[in-house]
Amino acid sequence: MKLLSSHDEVLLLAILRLKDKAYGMTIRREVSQATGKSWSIGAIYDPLYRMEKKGLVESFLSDPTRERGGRSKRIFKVKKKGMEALLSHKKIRDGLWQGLKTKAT
Amino acid sequence: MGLIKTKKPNLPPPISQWILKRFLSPYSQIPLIGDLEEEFHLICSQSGVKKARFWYRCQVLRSLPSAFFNFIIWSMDMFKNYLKIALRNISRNKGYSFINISGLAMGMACCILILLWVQDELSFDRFHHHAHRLGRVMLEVTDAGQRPWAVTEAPLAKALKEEFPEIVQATRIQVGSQFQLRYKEKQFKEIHNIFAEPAFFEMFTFPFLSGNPQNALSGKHSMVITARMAKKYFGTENPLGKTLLLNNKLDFQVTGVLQDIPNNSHLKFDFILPFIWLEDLGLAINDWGNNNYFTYVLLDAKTSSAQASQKISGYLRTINPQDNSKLFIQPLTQIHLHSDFEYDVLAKNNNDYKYIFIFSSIAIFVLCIACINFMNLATARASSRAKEVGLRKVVGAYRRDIIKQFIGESLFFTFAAFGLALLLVLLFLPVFNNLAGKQLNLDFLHNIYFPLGLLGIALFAGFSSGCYPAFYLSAFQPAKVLKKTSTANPKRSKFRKTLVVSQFCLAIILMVGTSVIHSQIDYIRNRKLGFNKENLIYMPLIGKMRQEYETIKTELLANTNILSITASSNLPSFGRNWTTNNLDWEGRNPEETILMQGTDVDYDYFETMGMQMSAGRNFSREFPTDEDSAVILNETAVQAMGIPSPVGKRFSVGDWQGTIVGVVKDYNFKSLHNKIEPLIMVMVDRQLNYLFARIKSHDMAGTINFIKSKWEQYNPRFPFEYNFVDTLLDNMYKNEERIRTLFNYFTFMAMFISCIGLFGLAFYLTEQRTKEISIRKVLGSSSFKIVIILSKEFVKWVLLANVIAWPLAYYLMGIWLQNFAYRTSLNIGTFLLAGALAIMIALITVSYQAIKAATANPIDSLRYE
Repeated sequence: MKLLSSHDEVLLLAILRLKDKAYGMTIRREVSQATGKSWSIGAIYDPLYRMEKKGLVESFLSDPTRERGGRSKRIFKVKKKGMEALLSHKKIRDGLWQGLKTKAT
Repeated sequence: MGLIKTKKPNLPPPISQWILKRFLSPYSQIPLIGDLEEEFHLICSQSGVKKARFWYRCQVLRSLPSAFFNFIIWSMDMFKNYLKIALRNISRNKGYSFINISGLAMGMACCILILLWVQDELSFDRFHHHAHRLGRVMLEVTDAGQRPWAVTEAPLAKALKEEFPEIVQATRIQVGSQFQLRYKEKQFKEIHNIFAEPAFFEMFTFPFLSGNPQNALSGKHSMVITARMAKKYFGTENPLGKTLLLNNKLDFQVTGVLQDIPNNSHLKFDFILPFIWLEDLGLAINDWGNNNYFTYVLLDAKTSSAQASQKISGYLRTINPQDNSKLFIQPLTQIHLHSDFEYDVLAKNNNDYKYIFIFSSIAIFVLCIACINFMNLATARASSRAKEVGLRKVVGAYRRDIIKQFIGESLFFTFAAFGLALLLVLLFLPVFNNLAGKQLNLDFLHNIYFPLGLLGIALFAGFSSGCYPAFYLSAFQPAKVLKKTSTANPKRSKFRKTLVVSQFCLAIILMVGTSVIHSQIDYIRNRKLGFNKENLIYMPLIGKMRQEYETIKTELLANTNILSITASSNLPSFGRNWTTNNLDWEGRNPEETILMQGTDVDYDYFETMGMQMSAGRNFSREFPTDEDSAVILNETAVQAMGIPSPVGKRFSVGDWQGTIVGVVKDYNFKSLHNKIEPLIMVMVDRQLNYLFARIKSHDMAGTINFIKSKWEQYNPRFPFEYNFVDTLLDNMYKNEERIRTLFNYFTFMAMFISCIGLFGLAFYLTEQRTKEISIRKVLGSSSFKIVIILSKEFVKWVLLANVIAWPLAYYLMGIWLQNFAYRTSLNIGTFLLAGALAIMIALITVSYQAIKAATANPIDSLRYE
């Protein structure tokens, strides 16, 4: 199976952390907080839609809320396939890290 | 995040929001806009509305370039596909595409030509700066049935200007006559000239190349010439101040050079002479009483011609209490198209606004027919495109995409046709100019409306002919068309049939028209005019020839090839005779007055012209009194007078007394548009303007050379000038010739367009009947029989067209023939021939489809059942 890009990985992890409140804006905020820089909206949605096509995540529309001008949110959830991809990614990475002792200079 | 509660909710910028909605796909639209709005409110509560709005706008703006780019890429992709499919369709059906495009191109070319002509006709006299303030004073006479006069009395212009403040300026104009002009060795005969007063150039702004418009005509012997004249006489020399010798007698000084008179001026002249010089020619230019002059006026800016007309209407009564005729002002811009007046010799090339109307309607009609045909052909071929539409829909095309595609395709076709049409126009413009007697050209630079109009035509044709097929085709249901269920709708073909029938009606009417015009012209040419027009030449008696006429006659008769010589006041069939009703004769019913025309003739007139006497005798030298008191009448005159034996009776014209010595058989002294009217022929005080010579048909060139040598002997300063009477007579019917040629073209056009319509119908109907034909064939019908079955229907339609067209053609051509006093009869053969021709052409058109359908292999259309 193909490896996830770190961009995708970050997004998937953000969705997982947000549990059932993961939609465009919250994901963006989560990611921005974690990485310390501002992410554009396109940088969130494009990869999400792509991963949705690949079957890593799924999405559904929530009920509309007032503070959004009456529009619904698209809530994202990590699918089983996405979870597996994340885990295998982590495994590979941990395996590679094992025994390495480096510091950022 | 809590709800934001303000009295007036802070909303994101509406324009940006609209842009977002426009570009985003429905899938991502709702959550995305929602996200943005949520964030907007967040920023709002943190750092204020302004910043939030700024942020929102930045977001949208940043996304725009890529959105736009995407949009272009995808639509270009589709466009490429549409273009490819369109080109493929063209190349796959070359014949069909050719017919379709060329039909439309012909329609458009025809339309463009006619519009060019109409535009030119409507532009007459509008180039003068004060065009809308200028007008011509007309005279409405009290005699019932007489048209208003274009001429008025001499002092009127001055009187009107003094009397009415609304009339700012006025000038009289008189038509000039033939003059001989000479500069050094260059001498020519000039006929296009007018007399005008100095005010002329204040009113009419013909542009001057040199000279001063203000005083160009103030001298008695000054003249203003056009650039063409200047070149003709003076070449490269500066004409200003030079003199031209008029009739070898009088010097005129050139005081101004005008730009050549535009074609769209109703006043046409090569030079203008001062009006006051007419006094020297012996004309009373200051007296009331004679209506001999044209009066043009310039109104002030506030007064319309209708208002001015009302003011001056009864003015003549103040001059002469007995005068009941009324004056009115005809606007200058109407002179060209709305002139149907007596004595309107200034405007010889006038047209009738009715023709403008008729021709414009023809243009629109032709264009519409061509468009409808185009549409028909496109829908008729729908079934071959049905699968494509179905497939497009299956892979996700919306209906509006398919509509866009087909309208785009028809625009592509129409612009191709439009290009072809322009080529056709360029090709046929010389022919058309010749036909219409104009100098039109495709002028894209000087008139902004013209190219815009053309573009309008092309777009109109594209949309109108593309709309119907687009909506029709895009409505196909993919499941149905892909399953090959027939899409034909029998109701729709009714419309097509009506169209084809009406097109053929038009074609048949035009064909009948052409042949009637043709036979009428033949009839005129060959009709016995009452005199012998063959081998008869005439020349004007000018210069010394008029005084020396008798000597010249004797000398000419010495040549044995010249059979006889005579002279007369006017040319036969060009009835510019004198007219009078001040007549009296022995046995006249005192109540009765008859209007008669008069001609002055010389001895030997009847012999030379080949006219026959029905009673009495000819003018003869044996009776010396003939020169003073003999009258010869024509038969019509005698009939009108109602006396049984006129010869020897007393006859008087005004104060002059004479005796009727003979009666001449009726001959056509006017064109055949007119009936023969009563005619008086006398020798007294004869004004001889033309010399006639009957010559032998052999060695004509030698005879004419002989005459020429005599002319040069007596009139060395005038160029030799002669013509044959039969040529002259033929030229009289030029207008009819023009209509005939025009009709030829129209007939061809109409026939061509009808055939396209028929072709479309045939295509459609045979397509519908493919299965029927196949089954017939399977059951043993021969190909020939099938062709007959298929063609029968079309013959039926053309026959129906005939039935409708014949009475219409009969009626219309009857009206046209009313123009002639002498006319051919409309015979049934003409109609039958036109009908037969139409059927034949229709059959040829249809047979292509019929044969194709009949020879097709039945398996191809039946195997899917």
